[in-house]
Amino acid sequence: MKTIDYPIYNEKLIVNKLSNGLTVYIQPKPGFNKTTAVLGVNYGAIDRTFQVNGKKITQPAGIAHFLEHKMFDKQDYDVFELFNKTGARSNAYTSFTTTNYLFSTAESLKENLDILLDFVQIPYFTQEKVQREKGIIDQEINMYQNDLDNQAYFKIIANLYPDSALATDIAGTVKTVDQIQLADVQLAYNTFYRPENMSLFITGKVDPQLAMTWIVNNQKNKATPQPQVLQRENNFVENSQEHVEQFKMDVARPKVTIGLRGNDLVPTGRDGLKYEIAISIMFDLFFSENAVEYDKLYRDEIIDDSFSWEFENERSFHFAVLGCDTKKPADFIKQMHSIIRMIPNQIVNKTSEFILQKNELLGNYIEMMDSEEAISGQFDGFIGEPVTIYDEVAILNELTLADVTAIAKSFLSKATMQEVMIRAADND
Amino acid sequence: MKYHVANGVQLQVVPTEKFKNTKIMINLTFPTDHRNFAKLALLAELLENSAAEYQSEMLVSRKLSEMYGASYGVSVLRYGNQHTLQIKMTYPNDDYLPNTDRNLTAEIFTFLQNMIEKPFLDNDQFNLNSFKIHQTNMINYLESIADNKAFYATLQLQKLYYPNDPNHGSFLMGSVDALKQITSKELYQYYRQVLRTAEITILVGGKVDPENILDQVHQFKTFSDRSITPYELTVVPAAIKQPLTRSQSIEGAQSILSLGYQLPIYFGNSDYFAAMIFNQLFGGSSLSLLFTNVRERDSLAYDIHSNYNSLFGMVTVQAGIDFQNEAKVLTMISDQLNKIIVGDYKDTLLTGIKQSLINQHRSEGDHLAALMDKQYLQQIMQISISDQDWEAQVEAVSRDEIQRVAKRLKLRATFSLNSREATDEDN
Repeated sequence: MKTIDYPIYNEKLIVNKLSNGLTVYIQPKPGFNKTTAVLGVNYGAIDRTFQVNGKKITQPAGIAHFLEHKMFDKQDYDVFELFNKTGARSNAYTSFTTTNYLFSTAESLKENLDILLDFVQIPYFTQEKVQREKGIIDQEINMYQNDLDNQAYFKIIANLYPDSALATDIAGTVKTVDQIQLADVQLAYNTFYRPENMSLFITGKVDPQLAMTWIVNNQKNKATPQPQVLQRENNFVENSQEHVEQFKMDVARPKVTIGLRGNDLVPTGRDGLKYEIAISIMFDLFFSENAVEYDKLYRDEIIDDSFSWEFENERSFHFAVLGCDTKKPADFIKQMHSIIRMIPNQIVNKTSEFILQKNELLGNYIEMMDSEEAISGQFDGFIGEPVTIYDEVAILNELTLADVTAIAKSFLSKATMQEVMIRAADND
Repeated sequence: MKYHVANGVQLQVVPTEKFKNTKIMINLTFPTDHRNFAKLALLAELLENSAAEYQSEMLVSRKLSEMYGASYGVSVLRYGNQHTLQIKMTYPNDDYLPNTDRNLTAEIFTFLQNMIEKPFLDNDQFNLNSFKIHQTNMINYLESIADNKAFYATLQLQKLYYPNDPNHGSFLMGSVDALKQITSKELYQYYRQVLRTAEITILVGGKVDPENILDQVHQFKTFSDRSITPYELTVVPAAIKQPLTRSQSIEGAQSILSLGYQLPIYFGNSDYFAAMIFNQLFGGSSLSLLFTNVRERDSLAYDIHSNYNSLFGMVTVQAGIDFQNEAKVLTMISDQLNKIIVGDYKDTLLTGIKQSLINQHRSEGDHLAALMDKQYLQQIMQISISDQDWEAQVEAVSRDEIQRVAKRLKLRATFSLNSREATDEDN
């Protein structure tokens, strides 16, 4: 067991890797009433092709998300009912690379920790239950289909990473979900839901020593799975020629999304986080409300408050997506290109803007420190070393404009781009 | 700690050392009048993005970054019959800032004074360029609401629920037509009137010295005496002969079914706690009858939920479904309501729901924003409930009371947003 102190913020993190491989992180928040716990599995929507003990497996799209749904459904009860007896709230979500199960409660922490660990570690799958889940998931997929921003987002990722596991929505499609059978669910579970592939993060009202004892005792009763040799296969083929793909849908104004696929190598651990923070600052220097470039596009009515960008850096891929509703879609694409092209040369001149942006980010991190949701959401237990919000602040403080410039050049010199435009038939 | 700043101007400070940030909330309020909806919405947009000192969105934003990423927002809200312009700020405590000689609280109040009392004007009107940009942005926003189908459906339901009652039935941000007609001069005159006549309530929470906050608030020249005429906050809809139904076809993958029921029980009424628990039982939680039966058992909807608004005396239900299942889902919704009326649910479910309400109530203490919202609501309703009392009242709710509440639900409006494209390969 190891304790990491963050004296500036009066915070600490306790880390313990248990003998079965499960890593437990506890970040107490004295004075808080509530506790939040997240059990993360290093397994997400892209992990559909892999070799286990030398055997190559390919599974239908949406399997990780399907498994997440199925974990709650037990022989004669739903896991929500167990949490509810204590008044806890629970939820789960699946991303491209992780699956997370969480609860928050002001009461009965031990009982809820046992519920969380047991329901994820003791599965109950039957053919009939697998079949029944498909109806709800179809409705969930249709709900995402109804959300045009969501559609634009997944279409641009599909074009950045054609014919790959990233090219399908996290939930899969009605067709691929229909292909999922009991054996697929069991195989995915046995391959990925293993203690060494999971992490438990707890924050809020918690006595770390006591909670650690509860968790160790809970894990003692569980069999350790047989060792296996796992190789994930996420080989992305090269991007096709840059083009604007158009879709006709019923939208008020055209929705344009621009994607940048990173083709450079991102370091792991803290250096990876430094890369992420640097790229975020790079985009802020040109595309946040603080930037003169943004201000000009805003005044020219090429963008408005619907403009947003995000950068995703995950296991085996990293990309940026910039999007806007605009009546001037062609101008938008042209202007964004010309700004992105000049970033490597212009960024070194933004000295005062860089200081401003660091100020802003520092404040944003301090704001997150008051929220258990933000603290646990920001935590990543799968990048080799634990990195908390407080570590991110330390990385930010050390970051120089020269670092950001170097990282921006590394990203942009190899990045490839695609565009998606959703417009109504009468938007022209 | 409560302070009387001037007639009609109140300050409430909630000192706490639990958080690393401080929050300020300034509410300017008056009785709802739909003729002001578009004006107040556009005013909020202008006050958020410009002032004489910071003449563009970029300059406002840079000032905020300079104050360690302080967040600042202006929005319009309605609390029952109360139309509200709400100004909010969050900023980090000096303790956590590298530059120890700064007094961020004083800087933040100076900033607020600039934004509220010194708008970006040309003569007697808002600067025209800035006015036009934000007017256009608002119009674009209103036109794009139809893209967000669930929200669009909610607005249509509201309109149907309050027929011929634009004060409660129309969208709080106004309409495209109303926005187009506003002139810069007229809007500035309206703003002056708002500053002169609105009731003002300021709340500040965090690690602050209340006396110092009071001094800061006294710096505002516009926060002076005004006369306030009390009015009824809760909304009672006009009686209707029969429930109204409307449907509209859209291009999309899913249909959205929305229902509005009248439930004449308001915050502060003796049945309020029973009404709140009724909603959790009906569709307000993941244990509710709608969630467990329509979603989990019959797989008819991924999203189905109910809401209870205790200032409007209204319960709404919304579900994302396949168009072909509409009749089935409607029957199931009314079946779940009947189950509550006849008491057909387990004791453990009711105990669990009470437990989870209490658990959530205790958890709210960890969110400064939630604490301040709660404080504000109790203040405008002039009802003060201690945490112990709140929990005791939840515990005391009986099956009979819930049954009585459920019987009072009266369907007023059903709106369906229909998409016939959806494919359901299972059926």
